[in-house]
Amino acid sequence: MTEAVWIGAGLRFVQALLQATPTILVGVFVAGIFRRLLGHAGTRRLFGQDTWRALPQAWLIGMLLPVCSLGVIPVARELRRAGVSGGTILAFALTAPLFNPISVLYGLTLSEPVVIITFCFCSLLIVTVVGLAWDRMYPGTAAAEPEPPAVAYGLKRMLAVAVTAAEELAGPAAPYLLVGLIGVAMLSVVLPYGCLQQAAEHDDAWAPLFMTAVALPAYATPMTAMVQLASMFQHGNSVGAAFALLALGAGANLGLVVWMARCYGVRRTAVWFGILIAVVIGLAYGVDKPLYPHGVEPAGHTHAFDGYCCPFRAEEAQALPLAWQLLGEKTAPHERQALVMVAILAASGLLLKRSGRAAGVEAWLQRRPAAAASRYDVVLPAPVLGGVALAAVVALSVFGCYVYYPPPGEIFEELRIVNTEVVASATSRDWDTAAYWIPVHKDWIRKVQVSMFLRGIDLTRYQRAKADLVLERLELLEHEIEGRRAEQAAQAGRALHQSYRRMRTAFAAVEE
Amino acid sequence: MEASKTLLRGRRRIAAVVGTLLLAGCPGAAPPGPAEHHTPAHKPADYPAAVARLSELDREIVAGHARPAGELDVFTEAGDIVRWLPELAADSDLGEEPWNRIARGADELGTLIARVQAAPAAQQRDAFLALAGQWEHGLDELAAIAATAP
Repeated sequence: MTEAVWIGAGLRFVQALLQATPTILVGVFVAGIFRRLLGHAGTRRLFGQDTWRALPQAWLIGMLLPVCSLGVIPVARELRRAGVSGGTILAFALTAPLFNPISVLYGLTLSEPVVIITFCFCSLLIVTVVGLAWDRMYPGTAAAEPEPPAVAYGLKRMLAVAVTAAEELAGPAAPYLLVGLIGVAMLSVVLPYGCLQQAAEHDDAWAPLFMTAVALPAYATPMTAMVQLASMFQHGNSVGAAFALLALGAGANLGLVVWMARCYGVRRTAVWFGILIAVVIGLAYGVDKPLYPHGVEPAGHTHAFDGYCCPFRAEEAQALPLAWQLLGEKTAPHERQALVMVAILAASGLLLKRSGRAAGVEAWLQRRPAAAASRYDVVLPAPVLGGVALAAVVALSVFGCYVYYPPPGEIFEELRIVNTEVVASATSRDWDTAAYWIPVHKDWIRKVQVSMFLRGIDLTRYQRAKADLVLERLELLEHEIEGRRAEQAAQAGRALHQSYRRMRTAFAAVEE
Repeated sequence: MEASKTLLRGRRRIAAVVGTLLLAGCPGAAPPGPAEHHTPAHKPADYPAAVARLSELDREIVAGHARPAGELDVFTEAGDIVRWLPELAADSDLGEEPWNRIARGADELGTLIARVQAAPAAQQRDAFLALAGQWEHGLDELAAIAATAP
C-alpha cells in the first residue's frame, strides 16, 4: 500500500474529526443535560417510556437535536444509563444524525421538497419497524443505573453539566468515537481515488445495494449528507442509492456498531443491523423510480462520494504537503473553534480522572450552599432547567440557520469576489487556485437560494434556472481544470462569467 | 474457558463481516481519469437552434420518414429538445417574462410528447398527428420568442 494511500487515510480521519467536533460538543452537553438536569426519571419520561409514543417521540427528538452519528454516541450512552429501552435508544440514535434544521432547509430548497419529506417519513417508518422488532425480540434490554445524586442549585448545576460532558469525552465515549473515525480512514484505504464516480447511476439496479455496503462504515454529517443528496438529484443519480446513503452513511458508523455490540451483544446487534439494512434496501428500491426527478439530464458521473475515497492517486508524490494544504484551506472557522473547545473539555476530563479529584469535585457539586436563598430567589426544578436547556439547543440550531445562510445581499458580495477569483485563475492557468475557489463558488450559489427561501423571498423558476446554469458551468470548468486543458478552461471560464452576469441580473431585485 | 472461546469466535466473525463490508466497496478497478462531461450529440447549441430543430422534426414526422434502425427515435429526440428548452433559453439575455412563456410552452409541448410516447410504437405517428395542431401552435409561439430574442 503506497504512502499516498496512508496519508490519505490520515487526512480523512482528521477531516471527519473536524466535521464532527461541533456536533460531538452538542452530544456530550446534551448527555450532561440528561444526566444532571433531567435525571434518569425525567429522561425516561421525555422519551415516552412504556407508552405507545416512545418510538415516534424518539424520532421527533432525534429530528430536532443537531447531532451527527458520532455526537449521538454519548447521548445514547446516557439514555442507556437512564434505563430507556433498547428499541427507543436505537430509534433515536438512527434518526438524530439524519436531519437538523440547517440540513433540512438545504434539502427543501435544493432538492425536491416532496423527496425530503418522503425521506423524513421513511426514516420514521424505519425506526418504528426496527424499534418494534427489537422490543418484541429482545424485551427487557433497559438497564437503568441508580438515579445520580442531585446537584446543588445555582451555578453548580451548570458546572455539573460541563463536568459530565468533560468526563464523557475523556472517558467512555472516546473509544467509540475513535472507532468511528478509524472506520472512515479504513474506507478511504479500501476505495481508490475517484472510484465511486459512477457508483450511483439511476439505471444501475445494483446502485442502492452497493451504496448500502459503502455507507455503513462511512461517516457524513447531516449537512454533508444533504449536500450529497442535492448533488445526486441534480446529476440524475439513483434515488434509492441517495436514500441508502442518508439512512446509513449519515445515520450510522462503526463506532455506533461497536457500542451496540458491547451493550447488547454481538448477535443482537447483528440481527438489528440485518433488519435495518433489509428495511433500508426495501425502501430504497421502493422510492427509486417514483421519486426520480423528471427533466434532469443524467450526468453519467458524480463527485458526491469522492470524500469517502482516497483523496490522492496512488502515485501521488506530494501527498503530505497536499494533505496539509487541504486541511488548512477546507477547515471552516466554526470547526476550528469547536476543535479547541473539544480539546479543552477532553483535557479537563482527563485531568479530573488522572488527578483523583473526581470524587472531591462531585462532593462539592452536591454540597448545598450554607446561606439560605433570598426570598426573592426562585429555585427552579432541575427538570425545568433541563427542558429549557434542550429547547435552547434547538433554538440555537434554528438561529444557526440564519447565520449559516446569511442575507442574499451579503452572499452576493462574497460571490462577486469568488467569481472573479475563479474566472481569473481559470484563464491564467492557476489550477490550484481555481480548484480551491470552484467549490466555494458552488456553495454560495446554493446558499443564496436557501437564504431566500429561509427569509420568505420568492425564488422564481427563472432565477433557479439561471443559478442552475452557473452551477453547470462551474462543473464543466472543474472538469477542464482537472484535465489541465488550458484552452478549454479559459473558454469555460468565459462562459461561466457570462452565465454569472446573467444570474446577477436575474437576482438584481433581491440583491438590493 | 468456553466463554472466552465463544467470545473470540464472535469477534472473529465480526471482523470477517466488517472486512467483507469494507471490501465490498472495492470495485477492483483502476482509479478513473478526470470525469468527462458528456453533452448528448443531439443537444442544440442554443434556443433558436432548438426551436428550428423542433420544426424540422415536425416536418419529418408529418412526412412519415422512417429513421434507420439504431438511430435515435424521432419522438425521443423531440422530447429531449423540449426538455432542454428552458435551460437553453436561460443561457441567453432573455428577460424573465419571455423566459416564463418559453417555460410554459415547453411544459405544454412536453405534455403532448409524453402522450405520444405513451402510445405503442406503431401508433405514435398517428397519435402525434392527432395533436399536431396544438404542437404547431405551441411551436409557433416559441419561434416568435426566438425571433425577437436578444
